[in-house]
Amino acid sequence: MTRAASPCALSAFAASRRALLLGGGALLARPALAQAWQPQRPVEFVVAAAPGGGTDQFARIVQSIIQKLNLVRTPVIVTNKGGGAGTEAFVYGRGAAGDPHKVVFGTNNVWLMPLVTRVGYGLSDLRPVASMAADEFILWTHAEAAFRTARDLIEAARERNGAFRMGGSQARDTDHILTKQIERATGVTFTYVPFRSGGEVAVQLAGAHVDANTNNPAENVGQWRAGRVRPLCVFSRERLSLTEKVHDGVGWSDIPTAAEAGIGPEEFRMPRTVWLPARTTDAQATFWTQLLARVRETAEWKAWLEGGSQSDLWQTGTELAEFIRQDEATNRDHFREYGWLVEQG
Amino acid sequence: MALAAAGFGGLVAAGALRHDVGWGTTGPGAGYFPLRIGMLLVAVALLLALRQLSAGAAGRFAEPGVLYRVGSMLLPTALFGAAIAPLGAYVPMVIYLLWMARGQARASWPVALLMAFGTPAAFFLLFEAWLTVPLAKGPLEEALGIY
Amino acid sequence: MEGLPALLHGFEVALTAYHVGLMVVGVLIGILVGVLPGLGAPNGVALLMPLTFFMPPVSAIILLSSMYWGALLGGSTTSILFNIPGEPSSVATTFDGHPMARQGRAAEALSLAFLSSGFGALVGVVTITMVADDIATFALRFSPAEYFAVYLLAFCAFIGMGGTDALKTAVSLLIGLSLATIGMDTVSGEMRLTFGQDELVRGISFLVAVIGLFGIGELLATADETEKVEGITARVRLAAVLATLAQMPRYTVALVRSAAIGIWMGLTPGGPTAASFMSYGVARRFSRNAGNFGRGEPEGVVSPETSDHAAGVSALLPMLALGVPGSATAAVMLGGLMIWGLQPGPTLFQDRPDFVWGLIASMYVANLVAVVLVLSTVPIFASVMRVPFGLLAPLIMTICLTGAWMVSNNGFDVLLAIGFGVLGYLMKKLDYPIAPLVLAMVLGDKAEDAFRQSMLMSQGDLLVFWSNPLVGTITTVALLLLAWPPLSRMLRGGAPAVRRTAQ
Repeated sequence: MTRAASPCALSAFAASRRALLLGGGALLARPALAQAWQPQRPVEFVVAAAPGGGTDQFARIVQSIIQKLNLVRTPVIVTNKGGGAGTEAFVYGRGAAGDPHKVVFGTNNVWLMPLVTRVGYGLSDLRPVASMAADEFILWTHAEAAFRTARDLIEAARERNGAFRMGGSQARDTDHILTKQIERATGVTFTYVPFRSGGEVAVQLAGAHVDANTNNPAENVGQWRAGRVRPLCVFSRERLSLTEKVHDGVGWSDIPTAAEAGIGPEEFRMPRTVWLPARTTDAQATFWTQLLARVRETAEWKAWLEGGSQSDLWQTGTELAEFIRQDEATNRDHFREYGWLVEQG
Repeated sequence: MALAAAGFGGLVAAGALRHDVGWGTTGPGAGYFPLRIGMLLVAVALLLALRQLSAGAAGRFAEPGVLYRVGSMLLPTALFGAAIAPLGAYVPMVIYLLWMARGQARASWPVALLMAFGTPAAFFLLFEAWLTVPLAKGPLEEALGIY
Repeated sequence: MEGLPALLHGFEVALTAYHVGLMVVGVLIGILVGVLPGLGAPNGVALLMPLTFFMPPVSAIILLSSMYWGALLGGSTTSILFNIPGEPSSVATTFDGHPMARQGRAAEALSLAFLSSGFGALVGVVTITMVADDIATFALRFSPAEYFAVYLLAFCAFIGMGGTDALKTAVSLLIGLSLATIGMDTVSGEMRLTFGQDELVRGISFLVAVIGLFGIGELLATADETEKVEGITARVRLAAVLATLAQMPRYTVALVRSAAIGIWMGLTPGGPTAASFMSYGVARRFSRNAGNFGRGEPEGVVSPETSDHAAGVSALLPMLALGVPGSATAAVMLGGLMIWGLQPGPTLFQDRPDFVWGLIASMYVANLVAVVLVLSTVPIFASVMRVPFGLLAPLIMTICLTGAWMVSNNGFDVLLAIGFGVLGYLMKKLDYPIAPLVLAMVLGDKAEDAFRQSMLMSQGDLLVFWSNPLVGTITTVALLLLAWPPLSRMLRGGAPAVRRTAQ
């Protein structure tokens, strides 16, 4: 079978080589990163999500920038391990303890998943390298909805006494946590309906099958542009910086913050994080931190952030570790309150 | 077979009991369907087993010769499969193909060797070099430093 | 028909030498990844993605979609020759395609498969051309209740039409449903039936099960029958392909019916895999040669193949219009779209008509290219069948195990595939049907999710499945199909009238 197939493989191989060389002509000469440690083997970027979503794009954009600038001498391969809401990737990271060639890409799910479900790893099995971006959360409703502001929405939900349908992606994940936090801050109750992905939730809202959702900007912008959904407020302390107008003269920077709209929580963001397995050395972690710092400076990276209306959030080292510790503790308290907390063991 | 299926059904039902198996105000809980599916499977499989018993055990499952032939393919394959994770894909692949071609199919040495070494080579070029899909690696690959 | 000038403009875009060249490259790579089990269209798309960064978006999508068509066709090749579905959607093709190959009719089966695929794709594109503007609005009407109804319809159409032992069918179906629940539950976020095993957290991959049940199971079953399988001598000439082409009109009814099912399942969230199963089930029930199904009946190849491609083609536009990928392949393409600077969504059709209509026009051309290319490979593939079984079997086994590994780079999956191989062998030996198990694995958890989401949204009211004409009709038709065998016995003689409604 392989024999029969090889002629086409070879010709296509040649074609892809040619195209790569064409593109490669414009590349910079390999810059020497003066470092104590360098990857010795092919590097594997392990994505804690299925192909196509935000986390997958995150890893692939970093990979393409690294390859374009030739920042790593060995090949870089991206593999997706999205099973169990990404825990598959972290369990894999635990199995690769001490191997600096396995870089895990995730979100805050690294430290939140062990709180809500039985998983095969602990936070100590992974070493945080950097947080590179933060995805924003916006409260959206559909075009035909009667309410114009976030406060109106909350009042409408209060009247419907629990029957107000809030769509989100996955149970006990970021959308669900944010929904709970809104409930805490405003004292209303929603019916949370979990779907498989943010894209699905966007369509359900556009079709008015749910009353609201808390999608990330990139997940809903298509439907907003078409005028089928409307943003009510963004869960951020400052307004979004993009001034582009999306629909009907309203743009990203016109969306009020949650505080301006008079609802809570004031801030809710999802950091995009990069990890190494535990028992890797400081020199190895430093290599990746410095490499990611260079990735962050490139135009491609900035264009990707802007395209998805994500914010820059650069944290490394002890600062990042401290942030994770605090965030984990806060959520642990909240989850206990919701009855979500699961004892590992 | 029917009894094994019943056992599996029991396992499913038992596993489902760890979750909410009721039908709450907002629809069925996480364990609702698995529990029913498991119990139904037990019931149907037992029914099937009863029917077979009452029809009288209709002959043996297989002749010894058949079992030998199937076993002689299944056993090496299972060993090969089990070896992939610890030893990498390539070394067991060569041994497996050599054994199957030479030991089982009685192919001539040149054919057997060509198959045993040609296939992994083709796989390497196709998957790793061109498609950048990594296959399993083991101690040998590590020692050679190609991984 | 305001689409016509737009389509003509699209052809201007698609018919440049550069784009036709891209189609050829895409289709060839697609056939290759489609032929290898475990490696599928998603890998092909991911592989080609870096190349597309140097292209205009319309060229990029032409390359990727051509790759997809090639993969769909390549998947059918291995289904027929080795009983290994290269792609999930070609599982139903094995039921009659492989028996045909074993009777020495490999070339006929392959040609039939490719020609009916081409037909299905063509009908799908024509339909899309006519309804392109309304797709987004139609698709928005689907809430979880409608999703559930569509899955139910596919289920009932396949199961209700079955002819084998009811108890054994039930066992197979229930095992499939149980396997589908393993792993994380979307609605509650709990891990189910993992018994604390990390390996089970990601659930049982459908691909791994298929590689085992069909590929490995088939090899074991063949070893069981041994002597007589001294290679299947398939004399293949181009003449055989042409002869098959001349026969195609004989299957007009099956072709039209299957294309209709395919388009329906493609536009609704059913997707190609469900479409091919449903189409096979319906064909088995309504064919004049019903008794011959499963034993190498050409109609059993024509029906799933036509639907598979009709669905594959018609599912692509809703994806662009909604931004919701229907499959892993679509998900990677969607990611690419954003990297190329396009925003999938309803406005894509107005913002970038050159892109959308260039893509639609390229689907006409690329599918033609794909069928011609893949037909020319028939003699090569069919000659593989002449290799003695003793040598071919370990080679195929190696490809199967490697494929199982590649699904998620995991040794456990390889063992799982072997386990499924033994299960497949035993089921075959003891006359348990495998198809219900596979269908249950494909649709089981999706159907459960949709059901529970509907219950959440309706506050536990079952009447939600009859709450509007759309969902009510689908649900009712589904239940009628399930009850069809006893009903038809009661209403003997009324079959022709009902047949029309069932289409």
